[in-house]
Amino acid sequence: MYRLLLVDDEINISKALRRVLHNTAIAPQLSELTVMMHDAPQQALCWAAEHKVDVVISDYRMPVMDGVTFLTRIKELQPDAALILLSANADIEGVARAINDVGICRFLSKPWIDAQLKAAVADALKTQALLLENRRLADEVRLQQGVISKQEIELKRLEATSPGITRVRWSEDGGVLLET
Amino acid sequence: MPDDRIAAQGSLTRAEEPVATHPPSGVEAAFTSSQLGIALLDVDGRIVRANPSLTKLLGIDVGSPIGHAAVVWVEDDDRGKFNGALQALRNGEMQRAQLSVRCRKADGRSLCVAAGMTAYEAAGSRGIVLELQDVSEWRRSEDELDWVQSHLLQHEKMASIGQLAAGVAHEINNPLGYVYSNLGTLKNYVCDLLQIAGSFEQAAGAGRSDAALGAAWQQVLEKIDVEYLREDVLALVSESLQGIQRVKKIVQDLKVFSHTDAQELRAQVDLHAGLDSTLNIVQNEIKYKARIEKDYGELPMVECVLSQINQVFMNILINAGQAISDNGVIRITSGVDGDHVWIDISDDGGGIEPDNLKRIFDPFFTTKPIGVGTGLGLSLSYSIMQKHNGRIEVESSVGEGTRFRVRLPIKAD
Repeated sequence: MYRLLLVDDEINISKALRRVLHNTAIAPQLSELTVMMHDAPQQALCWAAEHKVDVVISDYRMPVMDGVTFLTRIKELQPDAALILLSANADIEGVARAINDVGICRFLSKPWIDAQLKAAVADALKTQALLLENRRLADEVRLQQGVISKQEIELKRLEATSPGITRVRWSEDGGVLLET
Repeated sequence: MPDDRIAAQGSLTRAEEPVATHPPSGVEAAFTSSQLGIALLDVDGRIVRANPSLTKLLGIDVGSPIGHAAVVWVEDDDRGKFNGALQALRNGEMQRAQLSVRCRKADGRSLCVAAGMTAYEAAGSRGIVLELQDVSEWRRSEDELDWVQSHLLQHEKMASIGQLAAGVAHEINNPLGYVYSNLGTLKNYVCDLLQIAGSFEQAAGAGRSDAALGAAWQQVLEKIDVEYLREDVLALVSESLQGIQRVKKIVQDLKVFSHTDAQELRAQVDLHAGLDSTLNIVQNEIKYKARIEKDYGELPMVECVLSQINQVFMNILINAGQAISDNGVIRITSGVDGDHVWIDISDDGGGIEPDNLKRIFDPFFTTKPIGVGTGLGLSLSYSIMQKHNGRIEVESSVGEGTRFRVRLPIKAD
């Protein structure tokens, strides 16, 4: 089960993207894709603070927060998510920032080609799965070699399913601080 | 015209008599040597005397105009105006008339002249002094100036449009993106629907039994998510229609700006509609930085050239957007003040330095980087408002924002 987050201030864009990715048989990963849509970046950030997400596709030009800033914040929240930038005008400066500073894995321009979009998402999922598998294996080796403990591995697993759960902040009276 | 001349011919000898009664003097010398075309007319507007400058101006022989009605050399279209002035002078309604008329020279060419007519009374006889001055050259320079002005206007308009092009492209590519993609999806949906139709067609051919139809339906359900299809297909079509509608609107609004000089006629205009279509174009630039608050009052229809007034709005709005760096507000209000309407556009951006404020309407004055502004936007806005007998006013304080007020007469005169 993979989660994909679509963020575009134009909700019809997200709906069209979701249609393309819905029940598609082009790649096995895509058939287990749940698509979330948000038309405001701040809302999307709130959501992503509590839910694990595998792929994020964001518009570039949005009110209040541009796509690059948004993806930077997402990366802070969920470093493993694959990031894709979708833009209607190729502002080279913004694209360069997105690639160099944020490390997006794909840049797509509007109007997009459906097949390219599907391939991009499938590819991102594949790469991400490979990355996670590598890390899991590396951790296993470290465990075997006694470098990390079982507890640490469990913490990582928990953090991966519920971002932030291992970084709970306590108030002085012992309460849990939910505001980030 | 020839008929007029023949009619005038009859009174030739009688009209020549006063010539002899003028004794040569310093006044006479001044009359003959003046560079100004001067003629003395009797109360009926016939030429009694004419100086050489006048005959030269009209390209006729000295002495030949004597006895003819002066109006004979005036172009047909301007004769009413000329005769009207003559009559007013004759009736004593006024002492002097100043008008600009076109004259026809002897060789048939047309000539723009400034004509001054003054009633006089001397030695018991009344008459009119007519002075003619060739202003064709001035008129030509004025026309050229107008031409340059209108081209400048067009150029600036295009420059502003160019500035907006990126935003407009973005705004068109967005709906284009999803409409295009939706059509691709729709194709798949239609294939599914045709497949469903095909299955039932086959079942119907195979005996039309309930069992056959049931089996066909089962087959369909295995392959196609009918529930989803039913839900989504209409949504897809209506969203795509919205998108196409948006593109159409943007293109229409762009057209409002592309009108050129020849089509720019004054019309009764709804300024709020003009503002809204300007906003639609400019908002692509602004909406990522600022919120637009509209508080329109009741405005009557206003007589103006909408495309030009839109250009004024556009220039002010672009400047407002550029003054705001982030999360700003642009407020637009409007109202009526006597025989004028006003529209206020204020922003809470950086404001304008007092030194710069004095110069914002100067041509080519700009504080923007090279390539961003032409420095012509506000100066042309100023001249557009002048042409409309309106005004454009500005108030600004650094750090607080800027307010532009556009005032237009409801009725153009």
